[in-house]
Amino acid sequence: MSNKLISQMGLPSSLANVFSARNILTAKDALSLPEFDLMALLDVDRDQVRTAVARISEIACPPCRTALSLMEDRALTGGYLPTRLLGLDRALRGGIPFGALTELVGPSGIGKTQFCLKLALLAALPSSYGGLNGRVIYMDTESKFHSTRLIEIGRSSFPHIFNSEGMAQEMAGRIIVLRPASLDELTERYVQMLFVLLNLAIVNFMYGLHRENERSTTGQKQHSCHLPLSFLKSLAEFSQIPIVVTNQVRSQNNYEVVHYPFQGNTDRTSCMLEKLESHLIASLGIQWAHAVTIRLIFEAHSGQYTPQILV
Amino acid sequence: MGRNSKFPLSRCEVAAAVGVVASLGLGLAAVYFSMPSSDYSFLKLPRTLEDIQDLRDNLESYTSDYTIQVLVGYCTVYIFMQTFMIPGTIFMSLLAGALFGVVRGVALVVFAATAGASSCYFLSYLIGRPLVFSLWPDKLSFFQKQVARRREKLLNYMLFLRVTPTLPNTFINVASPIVDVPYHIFFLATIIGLIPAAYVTVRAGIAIGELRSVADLYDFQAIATLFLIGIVSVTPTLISRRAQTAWDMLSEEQMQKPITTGCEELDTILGGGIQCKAVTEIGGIPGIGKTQLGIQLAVNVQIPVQYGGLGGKAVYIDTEGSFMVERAHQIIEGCIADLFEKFEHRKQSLVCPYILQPNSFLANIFYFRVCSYTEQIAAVNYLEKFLEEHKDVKIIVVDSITFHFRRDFDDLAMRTRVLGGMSSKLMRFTKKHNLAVVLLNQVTTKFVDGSFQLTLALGDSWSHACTNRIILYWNGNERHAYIDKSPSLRSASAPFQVTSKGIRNVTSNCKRVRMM
Repeated sequence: MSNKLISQMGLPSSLANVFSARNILTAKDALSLPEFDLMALLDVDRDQVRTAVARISEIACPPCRTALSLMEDRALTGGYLPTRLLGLDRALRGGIPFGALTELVGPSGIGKTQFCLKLALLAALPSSYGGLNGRVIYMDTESKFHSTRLIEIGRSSFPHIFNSEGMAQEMAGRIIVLRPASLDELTERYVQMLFVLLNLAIVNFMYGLHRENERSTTGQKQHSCHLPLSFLKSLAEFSQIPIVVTNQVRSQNNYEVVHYPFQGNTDRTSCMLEKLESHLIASLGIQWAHAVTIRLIFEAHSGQYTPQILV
Repeated sequence: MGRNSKFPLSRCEVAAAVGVVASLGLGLAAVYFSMPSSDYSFLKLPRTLEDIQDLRDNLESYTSDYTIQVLVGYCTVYIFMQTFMIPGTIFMSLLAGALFGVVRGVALVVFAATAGASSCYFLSYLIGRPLVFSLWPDKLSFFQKQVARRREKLLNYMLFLRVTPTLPNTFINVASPIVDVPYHIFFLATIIGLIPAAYVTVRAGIAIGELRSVADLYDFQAIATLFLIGIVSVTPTLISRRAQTAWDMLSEEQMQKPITTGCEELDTILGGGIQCKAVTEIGGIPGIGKTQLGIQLAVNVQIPVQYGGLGGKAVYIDTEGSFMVERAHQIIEGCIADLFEKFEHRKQSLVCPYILQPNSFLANIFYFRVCSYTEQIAAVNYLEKFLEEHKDVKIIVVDSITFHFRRDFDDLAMRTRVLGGMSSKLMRFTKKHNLAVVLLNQVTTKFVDGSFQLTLALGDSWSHACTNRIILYWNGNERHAYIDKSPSLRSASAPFQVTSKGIRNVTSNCKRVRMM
């Protein structure tokens, strides 16, 4: 939308020529400049600039939809992948939603990878058994994927499918496993994902790759996070598939920023005592956290590894 | 027949209409039956000047003997003609002048004309809408616009219309109920406004013998006098529209209904809720409930007026893709359930039941999915046109305003300027269209006083752009909202809870392990 050409927008030809003469070719160029800058650059008066910007905005603006039409679309496409965990499905109003980024967070060993394996299986199952009957891409950056474990899960959860001839091969055959070794390869793989007809994508943890780049400046690190992030989000929305990402936790150090100015310094000591209880925070920081839609936090309570899911 | 749902027909109104017509008929019949037998060939509706002169000569003697009958007959005929927009009432006015003299003539004409205009008003109130739309569409839209602009000084404007020939009187009678002119203003304007015209006509009626044509009646002097009176009556409106005193603003502000957030404590510190005519920025760490609050506000703005809400529509600009329509549906169901619970003591429902359905609430949320900052700027620019077409939008929620500006902009100075342009546009929308703008913001860290602290994103210059600023944060295990900046509200903090029904008061301990 932002790359629409101004020449195709139906502006009066004199104005369109002025825009192209000054090398403002797309809507993005025109709208990035404030009004006065445009006036000075194009040497036209304010009313003309205003009408031109209004026309460009009208065309570059995304179409308006009512929430009701969104609901109707949702009803048509299904909308979610049921996880078969009753409480979770109830809390999520159906399951892992299509078109959004879902993050799984938790300390190591709690069961995130197992959950991912289960989800991959569920998506590969035929629809008669409640699955999506589709293909899955499993992006495994930490070599945690073991196909024997996958088949074992399949055999115990869905024995009638997996024990029949050839079904195990077919189910497992629908899951594509990628093991990118570096950040560049990861981004390359992402682009390749566009060409595969997908029903689910699972990205098993990205932080390892980013840790390599940690010594670079903070600005760069943020940008390098953003490309895969925005790509994943747009992929999810565009193809209306669920995308599940897992995240690690790291321990919080005392210099961690938790307070707003108005909260004052007096609570520091009491806060530190509280912090000992839950000192684990999700990695990759706040900006990443703002981008995911749903976050499922796995926690252990009283020694048992029961996932408590916080949405 | 095309009855508009804005004027629900109730039995008493139908009865009133029937009553009006019936009484007119009765009056005419009574006059007819009580008239002494004589030659009444001259009794017909006067159409030309000669008719009047004829009528006058014949009636003059009759009047002194049967004054009551003449009066009743005259009034009935006049009201009948006015109600059904039959042209020729001017001749009736002339007749009154000829028969009864100046003072009594004017009184009679004003009384009859007001009664006739009132009955026309009520009839049109019931059934006139499609008729007027087909007969005078341009005049009606002009009238509607003018009335909408002058809500506060409507009496002056109506007086102006009555006194001057800007719009024909019959049109004013028929169109006033359709453009929501209240009856008492209509009545006052009619009664006062018709006096000058009645006076002129009645005076002419006395001299009816000398008149050769109707054109003589309206000579230049009379018209000029009428316009002068009109201008005098409307001048106060013209002057006062240029600037507003603080006193006028006070009455406006007190009439302004805020948008409730669903949580009473939060509403209290906000002075009733989110204020219209202001830009409110709401920020917080991820997971605190900003999107939930945004969706809740987009739903609460639609609460019908009869239930204490604004009855408006919402625009939701989604930059992150965090609007989940199922969650909106859930919140709407919770809102409707609470409304029914609150108002269950009323025997009948206050609004048509089809309004309080989740689907109609969903249909009133206009959703824009914005994928880059260019589209965000384009959407805000396009809103200018959109709001002209959808006048009942009462809230714009931008969720979030930060997302695209944080990652794609390399030139920070340019970013500040673009954001400044966007915020001034949004501020203009609030004033012009009388709506609320809610901007959801993300957080970042800032180095202040030797330590890092959390603050809202987009920098210091942006923080001047909003009117009110609310920060949502975790206090122990509870969600709190803190008013960080506001010109009229005290800094205060209130707890709230995100439940399956939406944002509500804190009732019990909500369990939550705090994780960033």
